[in-house]
Amino acid sequence: MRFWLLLGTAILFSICIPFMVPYYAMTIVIAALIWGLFAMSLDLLVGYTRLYSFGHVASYGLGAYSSALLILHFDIPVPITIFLATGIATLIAVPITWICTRTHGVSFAMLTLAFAQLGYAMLFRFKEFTGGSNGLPGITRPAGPFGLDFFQSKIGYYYMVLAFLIASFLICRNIVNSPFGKVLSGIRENEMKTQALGYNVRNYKWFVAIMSYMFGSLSGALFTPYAGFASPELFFWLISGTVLIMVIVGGSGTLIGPIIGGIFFILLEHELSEITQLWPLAFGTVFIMFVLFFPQGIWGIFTTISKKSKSNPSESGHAHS
Amino acid sequence: MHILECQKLTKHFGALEALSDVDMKVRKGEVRAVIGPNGAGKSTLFNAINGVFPATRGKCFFNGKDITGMMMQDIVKFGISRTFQLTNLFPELSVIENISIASQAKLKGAWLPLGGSSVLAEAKHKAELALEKLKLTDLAYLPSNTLSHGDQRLLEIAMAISQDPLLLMLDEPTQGLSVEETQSTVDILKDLLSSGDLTVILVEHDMEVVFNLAERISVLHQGRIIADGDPEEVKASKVVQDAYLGGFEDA
Repeated sequence: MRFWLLLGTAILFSICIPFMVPYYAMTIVIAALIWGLFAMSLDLLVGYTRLYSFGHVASYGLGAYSSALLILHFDIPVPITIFLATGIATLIAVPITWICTRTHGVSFAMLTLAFAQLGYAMLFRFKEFTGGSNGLPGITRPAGPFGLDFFQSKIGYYYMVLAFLIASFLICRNIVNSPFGKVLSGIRENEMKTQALGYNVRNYKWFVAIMSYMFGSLSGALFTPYAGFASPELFFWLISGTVLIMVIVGGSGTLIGPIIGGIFFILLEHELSEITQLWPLAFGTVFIMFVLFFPQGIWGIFTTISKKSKSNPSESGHAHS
Repeated sequence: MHILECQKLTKHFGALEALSDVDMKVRKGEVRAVIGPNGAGKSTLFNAINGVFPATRGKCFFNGKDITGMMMQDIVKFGISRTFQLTNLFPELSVIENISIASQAKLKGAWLPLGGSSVLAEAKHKAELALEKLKLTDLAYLPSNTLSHGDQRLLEIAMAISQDPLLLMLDEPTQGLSVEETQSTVDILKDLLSSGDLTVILVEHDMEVVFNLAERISVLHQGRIIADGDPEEVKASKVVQDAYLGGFEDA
């Protein structure tokens, strides 16, 4: 009950944002939502299964390039493009994640990183197709289907991104609270015991990795029609680190936390980069402070405070997630 | 009818032969203790039966089906559940969540990624039953890592029995417990076994526990079964006494 009230308030607030901030600022707000979605997708792996992917940029880049190529070559209406691009990127993720989830810990991190780098290298290998270092400029937002064109405007696109974000959040929330999600929490806590209890943990890890890549590529697919281009930077390995920091600072294992983390960092970056070139320094400082003093993240602090103020221990187990 | 039959089960670790040609037959409903000095191969026997690692040689049949070489997660489905010598839990999850994950494994739809609230409810119901049997109900909502060592041992047993196994394998259930805790664990286990449907294989060092619970005892020494019989026979056996004294001298 409390959850739906909170969610409703958040949605209402988000719907009002275009009326509250100047038009030019919507650009950064849209980016913030896309990154919130991207960080949330990684939380399925990091927060719920404790699989640290260092190559989550692969999902983002694949989604971004898929939607760019679909629009450039086939001029498919934007909403359909986004679904198709997500589907294509997810299909590519199926064999890759199968290999990655055979491993644990550091090997998993390194393998995901390696595959992301492979994708990055391929952008330059297949220049005719991907535009190489120039990327793919001139991505439009084709109208349709059914004559829909509201997303061609910036505000309209904002609402579409918002809708995708909310839907993704609700699906992910359902996943982590499902029987499947309970098994994930078992794998997170003690993988060997989970296997001894009769679960094929490899398949569970594989499936959650596919889900994580799917929502990651959705965020990437949303990015290109918004930005109007795709470039190799969308595949750059540093992004994997940035999004990992967003998850941890936002509060891993909460879904909502990483969304907040993603939004927070994009807004922070925007504000700071106007003041100084050294904004990554602030980034790092914030990250270290959180790891040292608030390992439960922004959302963790929030829930701790709200629990204390309510001081109703019987409800507390229910309150979050 | 034998529910479990091991034929010439052998396990090598490099040059070390941890198990050599172990033959063991366990009747349905029997409580069998496996005893032996440290390093005799008791835990290796457990691990080889329930698929933690494959045996080097030999066969294992459960309920007439060949389970040799199967993976641990598949063997559970046949109805074998076990506990581990070193406490093996989900430390940050509550007691009831620990057991629910265990009981869920045997339910249809355990893997459902969306919805599945009826599966979760049934898993929780089974967890509550297991909690009652092991008298842990009061602790249900505590994180399992805040429990005493004794209660953690019981929790692991609760997880195993929540899967309604045909065969329960307990690896030193009273390991590291105080005298009082051991006594109460034995009482609880006796209660649990009173129905007589459940087959149990028990590895145990505490002879009092063994003679209290077991109907039949197999003695392992240096990877071989050196004696097999009811408690009185084993107690009287010369070979066993030698092995135990020898075992301790070596250590």
